[in-house]
Amino acid sequence: MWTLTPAELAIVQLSLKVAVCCVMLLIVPAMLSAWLLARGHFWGKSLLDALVHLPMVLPPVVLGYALLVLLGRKGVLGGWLYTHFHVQFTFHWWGAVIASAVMAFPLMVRALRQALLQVDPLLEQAAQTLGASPLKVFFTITLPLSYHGLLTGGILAFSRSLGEFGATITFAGNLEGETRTLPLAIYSLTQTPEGDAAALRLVVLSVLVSLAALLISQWLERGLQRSQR
Amino acid sequence: MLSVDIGLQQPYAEPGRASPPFAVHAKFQVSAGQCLGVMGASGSGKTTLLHAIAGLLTPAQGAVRFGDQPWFDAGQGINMAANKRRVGLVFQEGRLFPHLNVMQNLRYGLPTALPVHIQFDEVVNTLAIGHLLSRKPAQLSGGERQRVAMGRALLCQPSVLLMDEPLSGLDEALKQQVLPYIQRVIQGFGLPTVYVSHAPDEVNSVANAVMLLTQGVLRQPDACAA
Repeated sequence: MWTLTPAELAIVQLSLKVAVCCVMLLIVPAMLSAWLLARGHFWGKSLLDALVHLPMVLPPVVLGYALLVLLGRKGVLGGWLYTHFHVQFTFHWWGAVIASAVMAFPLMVRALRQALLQVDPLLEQAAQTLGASPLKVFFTITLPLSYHGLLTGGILAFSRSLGEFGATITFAGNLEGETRTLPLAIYSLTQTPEGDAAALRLVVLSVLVSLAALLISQWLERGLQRSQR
Repeated sequence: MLSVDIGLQQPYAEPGRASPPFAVHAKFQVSAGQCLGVMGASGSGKTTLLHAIAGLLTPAQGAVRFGDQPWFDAGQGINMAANKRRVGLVFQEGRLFPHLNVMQNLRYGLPTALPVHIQFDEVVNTLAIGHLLSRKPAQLSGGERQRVAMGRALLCQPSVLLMDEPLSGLDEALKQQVLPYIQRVIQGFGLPTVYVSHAPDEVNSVANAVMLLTQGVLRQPDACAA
């Protein structure tokens, strides 16, 4: 009763793997977009802002379908990748990573942008006069002073990925052991006769995994605050 | 020797304020060991002038040189980046990095490749900040903060020292405490220094020469009185 079956363990492991990779995949592009939106002055900034936020307002299925058209095996980019490098995202766990990354992208950018806006540009200016190159200013002043944004953004993206359903099932499919993450597994069980009890176990498991993630993030945040005091 | 002859638009005028942006013209030279005091009411363009020398903003015309090295020359299209100029700029509010301790703040600009002619221990002793090294800026008093800011500016091995009202945030008693350290820095390290303030007594006690910035032009005090 209290131990996980090998199948349940595999589902949790897959979900965690997808969520962690989703956060990793997002760090650089999200930071770049957030920096452009927080500090940049350029033509088309409003358009970029709107594009970044699009996944928040579109139905996930629409995005999943768009990904299929773009990156599917017969897609514009996906077809090319498959013929030249034999890379395929559909029915592969990387597809689940990409689907949840697209959904989580705006959340991460928002958190990072907010944090970047709180970094005093006068401190960056001071660093510049002390001989720091723009890259050094970013890594020694801007980034350390906006760590909490990276942490918040990371947690949001991680949680979004754990809960992602629509885009994943449309783009990556619902393949056991490959793309069937916790929400997809719960959905599949509810569609199966006599699957209710097993679904309920996974629901409880979802709650526990999310709770653990939140507790770890709180602990990280406390450590970070201590180190910056 | 620092030679400055520039004209620029004062960009810091707040939008919505009655006074529109105005032009600032400044021409002066400061040699090693000298301190030029620049006085003027707040909003007269003193900070603008220092930021133009440091490379934080670009003048519309003229030139800034150190020795025979041009830092900025509108005619020749030269504009060296702020981080390449090696200017020690001490800001009004210190601007210490809050996430770094005093030691890390001091070492921030210390070059790894260039020869070091201003030594860490010498700076720490001159400013008497040795007991503060492990503290974070939030744990410092206003006067201590400005001393650390001066130390940090000196340790980036600057060829010129610029001070932007370093005492303006301090009360009278603290000013009197920090002032001797500023004098020691100016005399001890022999750098060409520009000291900006609106307080005449402060400028008189640190500067060898004083110029006034009024109506956008930097002039000799006697020329202004005439």
